Amino acid sequence: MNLMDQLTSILNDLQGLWVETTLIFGSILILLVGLFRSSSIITKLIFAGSLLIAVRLNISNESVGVLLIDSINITKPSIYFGSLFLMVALLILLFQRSNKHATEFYFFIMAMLVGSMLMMKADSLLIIYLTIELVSFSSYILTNFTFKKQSFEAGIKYLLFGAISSAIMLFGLGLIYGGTGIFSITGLGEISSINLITTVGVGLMLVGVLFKISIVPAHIWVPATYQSAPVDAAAFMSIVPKLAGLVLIQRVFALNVISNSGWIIETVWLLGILTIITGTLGAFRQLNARRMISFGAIAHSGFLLPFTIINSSTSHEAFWWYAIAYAIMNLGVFYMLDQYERRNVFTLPEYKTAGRAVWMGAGFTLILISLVGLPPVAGFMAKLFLFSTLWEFYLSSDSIVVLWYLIVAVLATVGSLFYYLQIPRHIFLSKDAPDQSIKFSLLAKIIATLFTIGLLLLFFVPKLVIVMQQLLNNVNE
Amino acid sequence: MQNTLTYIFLLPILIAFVMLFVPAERRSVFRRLSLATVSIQLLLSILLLINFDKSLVTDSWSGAFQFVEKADWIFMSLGSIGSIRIDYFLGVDGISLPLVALSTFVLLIGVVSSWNIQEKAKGYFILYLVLSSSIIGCFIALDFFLFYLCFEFMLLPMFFLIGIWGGERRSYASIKFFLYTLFGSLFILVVMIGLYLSVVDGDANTFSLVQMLDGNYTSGSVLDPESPQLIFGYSARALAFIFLIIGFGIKLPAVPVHTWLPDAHVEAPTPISVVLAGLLLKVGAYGLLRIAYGIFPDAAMEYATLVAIIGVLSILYGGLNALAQRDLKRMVAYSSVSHMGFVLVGLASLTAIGFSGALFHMISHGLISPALFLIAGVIYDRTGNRTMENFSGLASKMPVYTFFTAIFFFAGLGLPGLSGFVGELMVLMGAFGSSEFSLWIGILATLGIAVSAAYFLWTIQRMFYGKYFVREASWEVNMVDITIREKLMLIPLTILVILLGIFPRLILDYSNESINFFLQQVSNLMP
Repeated sequence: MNLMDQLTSILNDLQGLWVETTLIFGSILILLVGLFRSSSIITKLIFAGSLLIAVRLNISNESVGVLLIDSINITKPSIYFGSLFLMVALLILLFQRSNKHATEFYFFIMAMLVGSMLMMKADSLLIIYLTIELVSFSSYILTNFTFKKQSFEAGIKYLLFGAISSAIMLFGLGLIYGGTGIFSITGLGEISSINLITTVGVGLMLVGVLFKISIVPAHIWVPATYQSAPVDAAAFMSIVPKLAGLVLIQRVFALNVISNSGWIIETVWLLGILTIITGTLGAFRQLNARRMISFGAIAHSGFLLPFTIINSSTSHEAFWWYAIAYAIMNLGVFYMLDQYERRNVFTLPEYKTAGRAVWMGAGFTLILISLVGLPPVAGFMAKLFLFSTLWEFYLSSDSIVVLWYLIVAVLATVGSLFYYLQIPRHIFLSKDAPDQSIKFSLLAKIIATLFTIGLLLLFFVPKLVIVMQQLLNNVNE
Repeated sequence: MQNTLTYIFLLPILIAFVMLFVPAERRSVFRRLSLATVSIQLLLSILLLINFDKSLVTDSWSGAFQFVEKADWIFMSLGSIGSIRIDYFLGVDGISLPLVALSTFVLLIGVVSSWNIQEKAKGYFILYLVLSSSIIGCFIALDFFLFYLCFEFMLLPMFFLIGIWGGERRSYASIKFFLYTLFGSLFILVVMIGLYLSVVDGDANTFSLVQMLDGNYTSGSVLDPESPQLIFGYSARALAFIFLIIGFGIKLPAVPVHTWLPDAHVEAPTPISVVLAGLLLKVGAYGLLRIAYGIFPDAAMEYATLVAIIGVLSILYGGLNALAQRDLKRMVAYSSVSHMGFVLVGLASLTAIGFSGALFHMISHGLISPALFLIAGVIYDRTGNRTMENFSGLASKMPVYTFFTAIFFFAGLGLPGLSGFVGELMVLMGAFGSSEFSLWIGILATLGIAVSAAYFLWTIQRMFYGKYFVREASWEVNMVDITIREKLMLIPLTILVILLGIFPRLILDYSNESINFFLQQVSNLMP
């Protein structure tokens, strides 16, 4: 292949990356505008505009498969998850944000978004590493965006953990290359004989990804980060990079490197169980509402993990379903936390000052109930699909660890009710509630209502999600 | 009669939705609307009772239900599970129809009893109506998913109704109630998923209870009785049955998972206690009857002794606890535990008379226990106190109140001529005639009646006989006999309790064919 052919093929392949290209140009534009104007409206407009263009491009994307000399592998999940991420980024605009540092904020959100989109599509091990670093570095900086001592501390903690895990990952990548001479996931999937070095290498590589999805023991950064980062950044971090990591890891788990060596999968199952337990138990004793929700988010990582390990069509669709429900729930819950925190309600006992704001309280309760997984909200369907997937996989695999996963997940659901219920309990059930109650703006009430309507709708018409997926798929075909 | 069940089921939700837009200041609107709604429900359920074909004989469950309504609700293909199919599927048979009628009646009593709720009346009545929808839904749902939805959705309104309008330790009691019941219902959820993966309607997996009752299993599936499978070394069907016993047993409540009940009752406001004791416990019993016993009769036979022992334990332990209480409401709450034990024994006997007795006892207790809570509420409304030793000689001061108390206490202890007697007698006949467990169960259960006589009579002696006395002088002015509104609630209950006591066919005529068919199915499935 001569140089000219290579260049044309690269140019052709670049069509598959129009979405990311748009986002990158958008982020540069945001920076440039920020140099001259301080108003955040224009920044937000550019942000929203490039996201909308990206959604359009993402839906009409026709190149599927391995592109750019084994660097990128565009799969169907990466396309519809891409649309979900872009939507989540759009919804981030619902959060109130002052003009201060708006340029940088949206620039880093955009960077994290590009990193996450590419992370799902990464095929070359190098690209995997780079995208994870891109996401991590934007997260480190965003964590510090409240410019308080506490968030600085959280940022450093996050940075240190991130540095260690990425070093381990890099070591793993080296081992893989040393063991096989192959540097891409598709390549790894094709080799037949696997030596120990490669297996260990893949195991170490997983560490870096599991760090992003906050699986125990790489979860320690989560509570501090979510608690002290700006709320909108925390909401974004709890959804997009996590789901991107899960989509990536789904492809890694499908490799026969992993299925041939039972111990990696066994370990991951056990870590998943530990994640659920840690998240649930950790949330029990929290006083700060946002910190409690962060532990809940850790537990949800544990609930999401099985979908990536189990390779069946049920699991794939259930994963998509859970992901959408999770995205709406988390956006909703962080939006609510933000509204209350703006009125100086941070710890659980402080929620009793909101006793008279019944409408917001009711909406908040429904979102929390959805996080627990009770009917009649989307969270229940998500849990139902999770349990069904585990049941089905247990029946077909007879693996006892899956049964334990199911049992722990069920028990953790009961446990999670206890701590999620603390918020409604303090809002409505407090005895010494003051007569003066905080009030919310009409806009906040409307947005809160929209989130709850979304969750109710997903419960009563669960087909919506599948229709959406088919819609995104059909356009591609 | 088309769509009557839907009207009964969804009308309260609709009205609750309308109430959302009524300004909270217009307090009396809410109670009037609620009263109208529940009255319409009661009228509709009477219509159903009149039009029900009591003599319908069928040969399969799919023909056993009347007033059936079916519509597609959720139909989506989900990977290799095939397509998920959830129907909006309603219908009643001779077992559920009396319970529906009971529900609408007790809910009406509950609204009348809520008449004086002033604080946050809007929220109260909205939650009350949502609760009433979900209770009715449980009894008429023929789709397991719909049943589970209603079963779970009772928790949230109940949590707030106890937690906001309750007494001193309401926060503790409501959370305890919520956690206990959710813990139980997740066991039910797991069984539901297992059944869903095992039962087919045509070629799609289904949540339809009718198909589950008819036993349309895919061969080789996990709960298929033809191919026993082991989980942790236990038979999957036996495990599923045990799970259901735990799940519904918590709701029932059975000893040793009953501890949420006294707390919830003591803290709940009177109308909510009425609904809780009258209906929510019946939902647990109905779930046991319809789902645990209907779908897993083989396991039910295997574990008959276990269930019967739990039942007897509930009867005796609940009774002895009631004997030890000083709080009138707590005593009534423990008596509920004791009475629900009879339902368990009746079910465990797996005989026609035991089953009929269990159902009859459910109805009868659904009338007696609301009355008992109303009676406890009468004292509490006047004095803010319910401790028994603070009162004595009330018979001379409040004769009408004493009259009603005596009637319902006697009904509770099983005096012949009142409805409690018939239910207990039938259950005991079933227990003695059962081949599933030894005579001891029946003997111990009979002993339970003696215990109940002890605590009811002792309470009458302590509170109503002797010299008139109340602890605080300030209560004196309030000690008037019962008001018109209280009579309005107690008189219909009295009439029904007496009517059912002397003429039990009123219920049994409805349930006979259904229960015969039920047991015939059970014996078909028995090896």
